[in-house]
Amino acid sequence: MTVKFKAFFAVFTLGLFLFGCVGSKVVSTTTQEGQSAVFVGEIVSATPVENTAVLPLKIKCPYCNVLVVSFDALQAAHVGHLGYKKATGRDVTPGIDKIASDGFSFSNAISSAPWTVPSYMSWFTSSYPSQHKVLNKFSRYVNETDKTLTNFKELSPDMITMAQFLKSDGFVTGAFTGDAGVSAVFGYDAGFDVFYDEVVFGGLEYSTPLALEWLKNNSGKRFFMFYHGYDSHGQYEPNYTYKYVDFEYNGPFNGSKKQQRDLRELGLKQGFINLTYDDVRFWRAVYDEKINLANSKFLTFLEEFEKMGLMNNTIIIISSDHGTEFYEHKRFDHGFSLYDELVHVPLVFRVPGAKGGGRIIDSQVRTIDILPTLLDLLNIEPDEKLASQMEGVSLAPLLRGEKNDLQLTAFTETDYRHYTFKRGIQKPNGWKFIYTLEDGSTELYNLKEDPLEKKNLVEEEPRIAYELEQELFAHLNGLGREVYRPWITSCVPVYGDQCK
Amino acid sequence: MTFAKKWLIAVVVLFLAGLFLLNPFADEQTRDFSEAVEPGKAVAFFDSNGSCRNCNLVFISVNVLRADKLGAYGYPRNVTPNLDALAKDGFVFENAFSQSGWTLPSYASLMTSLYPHVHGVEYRTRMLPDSSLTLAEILQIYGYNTGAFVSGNIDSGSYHGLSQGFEVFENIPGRDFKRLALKESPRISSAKKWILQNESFKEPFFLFLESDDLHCPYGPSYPNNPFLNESSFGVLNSSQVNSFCDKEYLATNITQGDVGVLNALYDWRLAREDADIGRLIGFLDKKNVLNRTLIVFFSPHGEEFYDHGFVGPQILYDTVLRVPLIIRVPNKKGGRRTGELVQLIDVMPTVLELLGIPINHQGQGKSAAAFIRGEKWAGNDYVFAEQEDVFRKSSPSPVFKWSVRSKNWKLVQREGKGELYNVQEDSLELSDLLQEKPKEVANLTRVRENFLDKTRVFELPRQSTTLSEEAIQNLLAYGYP
Repeated sequence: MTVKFKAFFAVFTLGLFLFGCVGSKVVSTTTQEGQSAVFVGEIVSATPVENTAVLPLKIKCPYCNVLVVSFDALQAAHVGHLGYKKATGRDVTPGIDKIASDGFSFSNAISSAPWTVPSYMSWFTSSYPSQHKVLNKFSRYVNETDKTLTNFKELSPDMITMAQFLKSDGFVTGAFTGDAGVSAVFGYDAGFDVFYDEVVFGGLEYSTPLALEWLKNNSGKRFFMFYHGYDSHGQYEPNYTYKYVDFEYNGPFNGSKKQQRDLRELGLKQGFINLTYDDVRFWRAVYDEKINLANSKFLTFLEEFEKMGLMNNTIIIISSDHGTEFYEHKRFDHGFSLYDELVHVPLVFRVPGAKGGGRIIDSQVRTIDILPTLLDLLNIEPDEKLASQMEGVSLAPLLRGEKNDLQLTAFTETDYRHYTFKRGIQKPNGWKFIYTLEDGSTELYNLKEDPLEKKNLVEEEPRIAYELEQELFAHLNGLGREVYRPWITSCVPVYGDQCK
Repeated sequence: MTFAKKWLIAVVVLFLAGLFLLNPFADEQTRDFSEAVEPGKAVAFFDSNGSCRNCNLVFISVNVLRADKLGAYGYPRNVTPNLDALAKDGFVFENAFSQSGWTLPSYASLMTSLYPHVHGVEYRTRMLPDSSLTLAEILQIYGYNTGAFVSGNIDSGSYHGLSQGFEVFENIPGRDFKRLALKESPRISSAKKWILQNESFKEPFFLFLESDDLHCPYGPSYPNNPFLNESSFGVLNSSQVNSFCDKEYLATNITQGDVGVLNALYDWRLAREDADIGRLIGFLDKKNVLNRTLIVFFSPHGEEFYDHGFVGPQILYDTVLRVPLIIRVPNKKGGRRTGELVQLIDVMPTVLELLGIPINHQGQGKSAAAFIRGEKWAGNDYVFAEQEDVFRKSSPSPVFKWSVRSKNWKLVQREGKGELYNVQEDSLELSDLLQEKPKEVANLTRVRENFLDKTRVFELPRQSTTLSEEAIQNLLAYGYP
């Protein structure tokens, strides 16, 4: 057995083990779901309620504040309550787990894009990247006259964001972010009274004090806050203690952002990199430390938040814009593929008055469903414009336990630098199809049997591949953007310096 | 009874029997294709989605057939009773256009729903790349058995990758016109055998039948050709007619009478094709297959008969580009006709939709299934054709031609020179209005530019092929350019 193959085999086995644990978690939670009738939701009804047992429970919090939390670049597989704790014994996400234990967690949430710039705008607009058009980080010097920046306001002047809509409904709005992909330069500040993006790839240590201060200053006002940090991102580098490196590591890596970046660039250049089993274990341990640090900061924030008495009147949503790759497909970092390690993210809802009890919902959902769900929970009717803009649906029927599965199809996109342009479709039955625009190559995976997306079934299942391809392109052709040729952009990046 | 009398009777009986057996027209009645659906056996072929799931698909192509040669398209001479009956039963597209003036790119377009510059099979040293997705390949994905019985014409597919997706792709030469002109073509016999074989599989089939028997030379002249009035011969004699493809004749001063003779020979061959189609459809009916079979009849291009001073295809006038297109669907009252513009690349999305199969997104045609279902439908605003030099050696080819046509106007570009025709008033395209109508020229030029801009992005990778020098020489001998 060659070293290369050994390494591959080891990583493969580890991956199988991890996913196996996620799977077993899923099974164990099915019983919890059976108890869904136990939770008590707030009943919004004009008529006096005499017998709650026969009435459908309506989870609503019409006077709630809204806190949207993002741990940037957090792979769903590393989240404690989604199976990581059980699989590894590591308690890396106590903050997220705490909110989830009180609320609801989606074990199959899919982001619209595998990197920051397009992904969050899909949260905020409930539309696909091709629709909101915040697709890349390049200024568009297409010709002398068109010098449009990749900017939401310029590219999609008619669209409305979560912040804009809630602001118009009387909320005060504040965003405390780590800049870079979620910078105001891209139009992310739309609708926010306060938009903090001072530190590039900043962590929650920057966001937290400013966010808390803002909350104090706006005490008594109904607020919408976006609270974000790059702590778990590859370009964030804390002072490591290596507390999760629980074996003797003699490899060349130390977990620096430069190494992360070099590995990404090598993977992009060669199409693959070579790492040992220990290298991958090391990187995951380092990742765990970063995730754990972020959770500590979040817990500090929560403590203050609770002290302000906001827990009982704030809807809290936690998610991530994308995951990250640790050699699952022989590369590193994110942005360049649509595999689950990049698009499968955590999604947690905590709704005051609705005791989710940590219920885990397996139905496939999308991060574009966040906005319609939120409006439903707030009992706010979107105006006609927003209603026609939103591609997502309310997940409230799942929270209420009215339905176990909404049978949602997830679509994913990436226009990654000038490197690759991919489009994907994931069906609720576990079939996933990826189309690469620049070379027309196709991939088909059965996530139920092959969660690591190792075996391309295009040849074996031509009919499924054909039908998913047609469904994907019917979707893409309906988005109002030229489907088959990528945008011609300049190579002048808004941040970072990569292009090809 | 005397011995002699007995002999006489025997001879007469034998003679009559022989006459009966040898009667060349015995098998050529016009058939009534209205299905005899037995009570209780009728099936709802169009489901709630308006599709005919798992129905068979039969493509019948008669190469080099001008639309206006069919009775169903207004030809005064009764040459095609079987096709006219098919038209009466089916849906007739009066304005169907090919995407090229010669066979190879036209078939490649039909089978992929791509324009010639997109699929790239624009000349004989190119072939359809494996990365293309053909109709046969899609049908195979859906469990169809696929078989093609084609003329063996160098352009009918087997040398250029058009056999992709066909389990059976047989080149079968046409009739021996000297001996067995009135018999069923061997291609039809093979197809029948294959259909019977398929019937035992209980899976749907896709059959592609292609004939090249109308290709010049139109001879040999058959003595009993009812359309032929030999007295009308002008400068040509019957032996010259037999080899009439040669370019040297183009310069001779051919008379109207000669053109009439050429037409009579062509018509007589067309009548043989029509009889074959009658036989095939009759067979499908008899075997109870017709009532779950979609039939599409078409030609990849038409023919010039001295309309512009020469014979043959290879140009982009309507004589060559306007082709017959008839679709027959089971259990659906047909007889409807449309004058909307359609293209041969529309056939693939149309049949896929009718069969209840998702239309492939790369395809560039527009489905006409709604028309067949009797729903609101509009054809194309413009139809496009383009043509390279068949043996292109230089790049770009100096003889590249293209055309763009609306219902009223047509712009043709050849050898760097434009021509504009009012096709409504001047259907033969004789009066060039390029100078008189600059606005129409500008509009159609813009349409062509937008078309290129939209379609170029789909261009398939180019795949080359080589033809042996021998094959080329044979082609030239056969009269091919």
